[in-house]
Amino acid sequence: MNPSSRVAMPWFESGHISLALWGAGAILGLLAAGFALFTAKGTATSAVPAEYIAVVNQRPLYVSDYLDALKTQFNVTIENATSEQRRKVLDDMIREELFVQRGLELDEPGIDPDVRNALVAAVQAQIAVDATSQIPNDAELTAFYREHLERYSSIGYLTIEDLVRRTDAARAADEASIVAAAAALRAGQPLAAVKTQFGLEESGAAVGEQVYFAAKLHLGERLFTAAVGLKAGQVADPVKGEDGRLHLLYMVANNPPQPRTFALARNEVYGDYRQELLRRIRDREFKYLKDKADIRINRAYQP
Amino acid sequence: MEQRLLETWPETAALDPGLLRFATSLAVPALNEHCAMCHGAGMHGDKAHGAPDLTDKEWLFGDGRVVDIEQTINHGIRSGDHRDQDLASMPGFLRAEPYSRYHIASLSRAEVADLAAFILRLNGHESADSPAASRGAALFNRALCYDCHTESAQGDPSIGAPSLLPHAWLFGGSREALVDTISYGRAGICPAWVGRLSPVTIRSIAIYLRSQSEKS
Repeated sequence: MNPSSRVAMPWFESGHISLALWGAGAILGLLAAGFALFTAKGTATSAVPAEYIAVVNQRPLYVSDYLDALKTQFNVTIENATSEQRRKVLDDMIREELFVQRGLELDEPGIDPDVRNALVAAVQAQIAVDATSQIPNDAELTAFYREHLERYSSIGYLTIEDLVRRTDAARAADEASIVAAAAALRAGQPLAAVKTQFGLEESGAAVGEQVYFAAKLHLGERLFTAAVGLKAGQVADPVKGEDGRLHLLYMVANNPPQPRTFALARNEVYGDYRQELLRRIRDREFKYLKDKADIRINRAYQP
Repeated sequence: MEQRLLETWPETAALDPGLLRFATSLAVPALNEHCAMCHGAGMHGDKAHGAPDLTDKEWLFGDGRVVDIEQTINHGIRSGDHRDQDLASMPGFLRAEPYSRYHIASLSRAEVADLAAFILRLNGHESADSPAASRGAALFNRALCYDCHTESAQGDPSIGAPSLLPHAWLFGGSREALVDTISYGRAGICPAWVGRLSPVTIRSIAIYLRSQSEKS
């Protein structure tokens, strides 16, 4: 080794070499990062998982939603969709995602009542989905059915003669004769004969067979209450109706509600069970959120 | 293989023997674990639950394509999911308020019986000259049945309204079952599985069910 060459290139010593390489590495790294940062467009198609149609700022857009949108917007499947239709749907989805992300940046949920309502509805809907996914077995449904048997009864129906004083005859019945007519019916006299003898006629409120709710609607609460407990052939004590007239009620046929079998009502039981479960889960969710929240109420506005 | 299954267009994947085998290997355990409770062990349905046969060619929602089946599995039927199938349900015509979404007039028991007779006639179980069935035919329009089931009674798969012509009845096609359905209504429920089952499992189930339907 020539000693003079050592003097001419002092930077070539090992300590200087490593420092120089460090510097070069740092500069290359900065250049690469800068290039990536300033050239990224956010729409690269590489490395997107197969179940996503795209990923927008790390938020996935699902293929299934894309297919639904194609069907909803253009009524086409992906094989039949034109490239314009595909582009339109994809652009719409990306636009929606970007606007949602921007809405969150702008704190729209904090200020816009519509957005707040939509969020509340979405959380409640999510709870509903949770409730639906808990599929009850038949033992649970049967227990619920037994607890709420009245809900799963058939609709009751009746045929009733609702008699009042004749309005178009000289021999219109007075109140005393209506009471006497009731006694005559109870004694077994035929209905037609009693009507003639005591000057009674049908009110016309409840003609023919009526389901209970229709009878209640037509007769009014007071008359229906007096009638509903009667068996066929029985007569109620004369009762003043909501029209102010005295009515004589004669039950021709009465079929009260009967429990429908679990097998027949199962579908309804399932729906009601789910609603009940939903209510419980919502209440629980609200309680959980409330318990862990820091809520301070202004004393001036304490309820 | 999972990646390939998801990347292949669903209807095409159903025709690929290798993918179908793979889909079947994922679908069968998932169906047994999550769906057999309502649809039965062989997925042949259960009338007591109103759960349809998933192996036949009749589809209540959509026309049985893999994407239609996948849509129902993902979002469910009346599940509460915001994309679920929930555009209509069967009113209970004997009730004071037959339908919760808009006003429909109640029917009398006799009218319900007439409608049942009409449907039985459509299915060849009531004589052609039955007066009750003829009254029921007129009621079919007056009670707005056609609005969901269509004027030809063929049903509408876009809203899940079943055909009233001869088919596999969800809740049974006897006179008693029909009267009960018309009187008290129906509204079946299927959970939404998106987020609960993986996308590849859901796709696999859809492909497998489609293949079973094709075989029937």
